[in-house]
Amino acid sequence: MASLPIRLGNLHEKNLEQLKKLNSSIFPIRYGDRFYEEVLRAHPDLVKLAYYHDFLIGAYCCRKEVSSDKQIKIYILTIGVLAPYRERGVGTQLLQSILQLVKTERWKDVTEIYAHVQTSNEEALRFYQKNGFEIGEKKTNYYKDIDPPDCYVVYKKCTKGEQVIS
Amino acid sequence: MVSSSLPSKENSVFKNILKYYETKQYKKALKSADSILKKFPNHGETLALKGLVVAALNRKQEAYDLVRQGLKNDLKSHICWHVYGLLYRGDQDYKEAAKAYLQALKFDPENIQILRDLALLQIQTRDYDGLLVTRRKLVTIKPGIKNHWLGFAVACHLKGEMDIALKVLESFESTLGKSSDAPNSAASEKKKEKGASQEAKVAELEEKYETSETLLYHAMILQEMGSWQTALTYLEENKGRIVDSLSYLEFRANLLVQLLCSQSISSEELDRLYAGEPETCILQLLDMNPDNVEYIQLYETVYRFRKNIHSSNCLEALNELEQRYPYSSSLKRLILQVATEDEFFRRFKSYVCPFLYRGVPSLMTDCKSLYLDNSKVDIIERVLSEFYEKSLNKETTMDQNSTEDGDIPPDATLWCLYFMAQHFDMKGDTEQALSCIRRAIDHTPTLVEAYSLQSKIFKHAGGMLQSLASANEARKLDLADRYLNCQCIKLALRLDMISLAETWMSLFTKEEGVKESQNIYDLQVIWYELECAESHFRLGELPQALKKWKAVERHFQDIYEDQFDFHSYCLRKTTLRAYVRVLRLEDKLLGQKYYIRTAKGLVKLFLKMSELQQRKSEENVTLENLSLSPKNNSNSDKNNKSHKDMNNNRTNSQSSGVGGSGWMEVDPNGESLYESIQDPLGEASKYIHTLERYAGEDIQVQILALDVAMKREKLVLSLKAIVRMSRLVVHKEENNSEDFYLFLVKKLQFAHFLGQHSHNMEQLPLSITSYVKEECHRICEGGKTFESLLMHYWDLYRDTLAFLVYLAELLEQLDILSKYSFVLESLVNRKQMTSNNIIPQRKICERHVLLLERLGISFVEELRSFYRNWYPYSDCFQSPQEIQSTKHMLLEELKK
Repeated sequence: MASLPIRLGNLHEKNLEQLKKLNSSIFPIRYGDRFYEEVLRAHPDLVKLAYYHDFLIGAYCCRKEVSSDKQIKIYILTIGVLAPYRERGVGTQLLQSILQLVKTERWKDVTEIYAHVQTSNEEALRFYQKNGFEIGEKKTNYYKDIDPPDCYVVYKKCTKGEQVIS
Repeated sequence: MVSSSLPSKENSVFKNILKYYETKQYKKALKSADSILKKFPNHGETLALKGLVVAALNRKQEAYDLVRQGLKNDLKSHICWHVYGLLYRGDQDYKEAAKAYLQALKFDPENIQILRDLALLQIQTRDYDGLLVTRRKLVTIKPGIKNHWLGFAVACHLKGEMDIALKVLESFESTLGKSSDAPNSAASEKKKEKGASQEAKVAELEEKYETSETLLYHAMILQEMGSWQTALTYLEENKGRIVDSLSYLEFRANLLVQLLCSQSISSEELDRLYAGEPETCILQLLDMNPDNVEYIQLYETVYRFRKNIHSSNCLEALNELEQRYPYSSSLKRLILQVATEDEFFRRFKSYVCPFLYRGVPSLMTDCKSLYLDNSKVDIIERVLSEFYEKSLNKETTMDQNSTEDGDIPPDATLWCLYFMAQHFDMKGDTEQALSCIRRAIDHTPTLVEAYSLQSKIFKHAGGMLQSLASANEARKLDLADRYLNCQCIKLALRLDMISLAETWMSLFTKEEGVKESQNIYDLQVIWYELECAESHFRLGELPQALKKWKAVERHFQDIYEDQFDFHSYCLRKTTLRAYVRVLRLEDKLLGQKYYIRTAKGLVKLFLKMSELQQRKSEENVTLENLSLSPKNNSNSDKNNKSHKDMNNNRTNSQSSGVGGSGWMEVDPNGESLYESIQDPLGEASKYIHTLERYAGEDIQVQILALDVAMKREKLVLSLKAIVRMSRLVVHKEENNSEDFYLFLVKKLQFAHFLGQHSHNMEQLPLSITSYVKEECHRICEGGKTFESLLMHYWDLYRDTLAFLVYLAELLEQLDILSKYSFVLESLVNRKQMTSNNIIPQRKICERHVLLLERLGISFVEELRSFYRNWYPYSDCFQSPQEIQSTKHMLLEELKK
């Protein structure tokens, strides 16, 4: 099946509520004000909204992290697509645009892109693996309000100049 | 202008004043004028000219004084009169200006400038008789000028002197060929010079176009005269010179159809001259644009005529066209209008499905007119539910055979639900509509339109608070969307939450240094000012309401005013056909629904105002009996002052916007405007006059006319209104029964009025007395008194809630409710309500509740919960505490 054509847009104060509606429909976790304050302030590359026709059906939100050994990482906070629009390549298009970032001048020093996935979420694990991610350590009791409370770290290493796309 | 009676030195100074004035060097102009006045303080023309300069500096009162003084000293000077006219023209008082110009012409009858100016004023005021005289003079005095001929032709046309108009155009056209040949050869000679040839080319093209337009205007007049055959021949003869080939074809097609259908010439004759041409001509047009509805309708007309079909819709003709133009969407849509049953089912399905796949939010707007036919509504529902089932199945089975269904977009279900919600809303099935829209929101919670639609569904069910809550949810999803913001504002105003509406409005109207309401006024945001006015009126804030309604009225005056520049522009550009259409449009301007709404509002306001004044004067009388306070004196003082304020306002508004003197910035709450109204009933009748003219068929207008006439104790006018009402109600008794009961009650009110003003009958002129008596006799069902008429209707309609509610409202208004206690008793009787199987309209139930609430009858609580069964969403049927708390919650939510 042909993947759904989407248009990527930026987040700003005027459409923030749309992202809130989207997230609360997709994820079991309620994201609070602090989360939305952070993503509003984030660099536009790190937060993208996916529009189909003229309405929002998916989004990703990332955070730039600098670890103690000065390594720069991109942490995927959320990535998701509304249920009726899944299985049509929208998630892949979103994830690919995150992966494309490290090929640009601004993000060339990023060494790793990673995320947390609830251990029970096989769909998501398959999704990341399909896009060249590896499954790393398991963190127990990572989540507070959902069951199971454990998660895996999924990650993809990138080195300078390397082709990230699998 | 050359002044008389000045020595040569002063005369040249005098000319300088003019020069300075025209180059806007007003200070120098003033100095020059003063230097003459020093020597000749009573020189009239100089005084007048000084007045003109002073007017340009926006000192209006001083200007009028100077010019009048000038006139007094030199009554026979055309300059003084001309300047006087200019002043009035500057203040848009065209009638007075025209009078002054006519005076000026008495002393200088062939002054081209004055004649031209006068013609503009006369057309602006639609003084066609005067215009004709002026235009004839212009063309006689200076026949060498193109505009004079065209202007004269237009004047004749508008006056209805078609034959003269044609003669004028003919003699003008005979000169056209020569002049257009000459520059042609001249242009070819000049071809060597590149720049000049370019210029000449443009001029040549312009001239060609102007000739073409003149010819088409000529054809238009012939068409309006009904001389279709002459018009056709005329067009054919001039085909080579008409460059607007589309207009040519359209004219020809219309004329052929008119000629055919009029049967003014025999069919043999017609066939001999134009065999099959109507069809070919229309098809030629359709080849260019198969979506033009007018062309399609022309084709239908011809088809029906040929086949002798009398019904208004003709499926065969459309089908035939569709064979030819399979991609015309207008045709597909028009066929839906006429197709029925299975044909409609098939057609509607193939029409609507692609739109549902594609996601077209405006689909219902397109389909709305189909809902006039109940059998179609059922078919639509069938198509929609089939589509919905199918799309659901596809969605769930997609995994198995995904390759096959790759073309079904995932939002087809969404748009189907969206359309179904609108469908049930159209049917008045709030429950189903809400269920559909909720499923749509569950499907795609980010679709802004869905919340907006949910708001509309609540609104249609009377739940304004919930409507506002939904609209606000939509607004928050896209704070940059002006439409969503406006939707919220409108609802807030309907709920009389004016300050909230103002806060939202300010999000989109920020302009620095200008007050917000002034900004809105400058932008002519009529819908907003109207809603504001109506809200203020509901809240009893009459001055503010008056201010806003007057603002809307001024917008309409401005729109009318805007045509002024076209009078000269269109003649110059020879766009005569468009010009005449614009004039006719402006003539109907006050028939626009926004103006009608404004005028109705103003009448209600003036009625209310006179009521308040009456009450106040009654109170004053009793007060004066108690003490000898000089109250009256101070009152009239105040009135005088406010009247002056008003005049200042008017002059200030000329320079709108500058330095906080715009119309909305001076007297923003309308207090002095309100106080300046001396005779509210007189004002009201002025608006009634306009309403009668443009919306006499509207029963609400006749009701207002009756109310005003009775307040003014005008027997004949009251009778006229009630008679007109009776004709309107007879016409639509079946489908609008509410109006029928309202009419009955209005007749009762009229009978009551007659009973109290029987002496008016004696004051009537003898010639109409018998007629008036007869009509009154008829209206009161055989001359019944109020009392017996009431009992008569009571026996007939006591089971109808609408009648009972309107009747009780009338008795309340006349303050005789207790005298006829059985009316109210029937309205607090549960048995009475359930005795009838028909569910009354929500509006009537709401009036019922509001009435009992006003009267403080405790039964109202029970009544509310009873009506809630029928109309669960209406705010009016919720308990007041609940409404209060919802309102409170909403406001809290909005504060965030």
